[in-house]
Amino acid sequence: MMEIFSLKPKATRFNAIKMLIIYEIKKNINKRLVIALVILSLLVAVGTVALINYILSEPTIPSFVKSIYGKYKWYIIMSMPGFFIALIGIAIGGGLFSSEYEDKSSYVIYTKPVDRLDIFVGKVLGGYTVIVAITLFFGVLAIALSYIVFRDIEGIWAAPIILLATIYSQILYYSLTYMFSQLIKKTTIATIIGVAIIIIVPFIDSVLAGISHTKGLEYLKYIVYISPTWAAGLPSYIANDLLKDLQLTSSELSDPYLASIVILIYFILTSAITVYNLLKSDLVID
Amino acid sequence: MDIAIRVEGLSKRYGGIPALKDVSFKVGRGQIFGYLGPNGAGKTTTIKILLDLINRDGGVVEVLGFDPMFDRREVLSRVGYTPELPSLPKFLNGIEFLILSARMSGLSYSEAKSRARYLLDLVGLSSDAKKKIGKYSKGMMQKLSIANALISSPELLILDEPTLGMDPIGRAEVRDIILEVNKMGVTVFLSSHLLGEVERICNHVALIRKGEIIFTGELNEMIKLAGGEIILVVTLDKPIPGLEDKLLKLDYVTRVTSDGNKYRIVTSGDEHRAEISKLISEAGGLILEMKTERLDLETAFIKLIGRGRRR
Repeated sequence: MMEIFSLKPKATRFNAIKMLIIYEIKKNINKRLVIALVILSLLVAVGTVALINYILSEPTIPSFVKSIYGKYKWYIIMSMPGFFIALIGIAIGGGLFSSEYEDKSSYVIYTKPVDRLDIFVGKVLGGYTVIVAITLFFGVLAIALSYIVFRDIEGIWAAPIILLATIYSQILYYSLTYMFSQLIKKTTIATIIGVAIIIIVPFIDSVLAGISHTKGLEYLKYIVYISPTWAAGLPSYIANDLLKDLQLTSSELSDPYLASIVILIYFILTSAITVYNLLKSDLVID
Repeated sequence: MDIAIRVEGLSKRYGGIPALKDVSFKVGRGQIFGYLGPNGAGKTTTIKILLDLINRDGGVVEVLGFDPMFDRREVLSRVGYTPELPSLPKFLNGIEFLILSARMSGLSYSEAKSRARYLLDLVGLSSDAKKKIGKYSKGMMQKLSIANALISSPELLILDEPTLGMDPIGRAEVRDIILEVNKMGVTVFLSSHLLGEVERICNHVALIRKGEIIFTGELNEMIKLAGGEIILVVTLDKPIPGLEDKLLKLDYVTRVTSDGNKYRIVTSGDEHRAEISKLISEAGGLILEMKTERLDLETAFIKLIGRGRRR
């Protein structure tokens, strides 16, 4: 016992943040919802390969359909599980802060020598590391499957840029849900809000874009531009720009630069609100 | 006195309801300080403020010379804490958790690992080191939490009901650990319902009731303050019929119980021994032995809490 008390550790900010990142990674890779969504994404990716294979080999399928799936197969395989990967971001963000309050682990984790701001930095980076790893995995998997099954990696030079854009755009839903996670302190509610945004907002966007197009109401377009789901389409806007004749995504309202800025604004706003709340509110609830 | 914890005029409200009202006490370095009070008195609220887990509404708080609200890292790098019924990260195993905790406190990986192993052994969890915490029992979780509190060589140990859910052997082990670390100069702030435990190890106490401190000082002083009553345990050669009634007629005797020839006489002070001896002799009793017992902590606690008197 004496030996233990003879050496006093020196807590540093960097070390504490690093450990919080590791903590958050371990927490999320053990989360059932995250594991389930990874499996679903995997099934969708493999299913997409099977679907493309079927479309291309089935003689009864019209040639215009075949032409859609004939090019940039790696991109199609990469983008298909996108919805579920975004849900993974929501699942991680939804429990980022609230799970500590709900499980009462905040009594242990938040009584370590870590500043409140560093708690935010460590946890956000930890959760995001998992999202980045999963996104990268599915990106590499898509390219590998495309090459192994179809021997086709046409336009592969664009893959790193699109993959980076995908990783960047994941910040959007992630930051929105971690903000709700801290504000509401309930994982289920924060996650439901995130899922509601990803499902409901695109409908509203489509309706607004449709009205804007048919009635010529330009201002409605600008409402669409500030919606999170429009900005989250950044990878597809970039793909449209980089991959010629890509027929899978619509180029209407496509603006990668604006989408990048909107994502950044969302991230800054949600993070500022989260940090403010974390600094001002109690770190435990009963 | 070198001060480890200084709390002055501390107040906290939960949604308008006061949880702490003008709470003040001091804990000297090297003390084992008992923080006592009934459920909902404000003990855990005070601890949460000391650890910057919740914000205070008013007052001054200093932990080892730092204000936890402004010097969070400085305070928490010197404090080890065990919460009441700890909930530890279930996705980690015992040793992983301790290593992570030690690393967060600034230890190198190798040092963290060797300390984690040592402490797991100390609290009797060596064989469960690689078991997921989710599979730990309450008692095991409590022991792991104590190991976690010790891992960063704290100068101050804050323990909130550290033996809750433990068997008597586990409680004795924890008591030994507390006494051992205290010998090394670690100040211990112990909040507990188990007054027997507090009585055995604490030398100073504070008593809180409905968010207000009603006593702070040495344990003996508290017992004295609870009424200054003592118990005379008198053994006679034979039982004397009607002796209880005769004794109760004395103004300073508040209670008498007997078990055969053994009488327990509760009096307001030790100075009445001679008069009581005389009365017993006059009643025909021969005193074989007369011992003085002081009021125990539990009785003093109940009396003070019931009275709600401010010192």
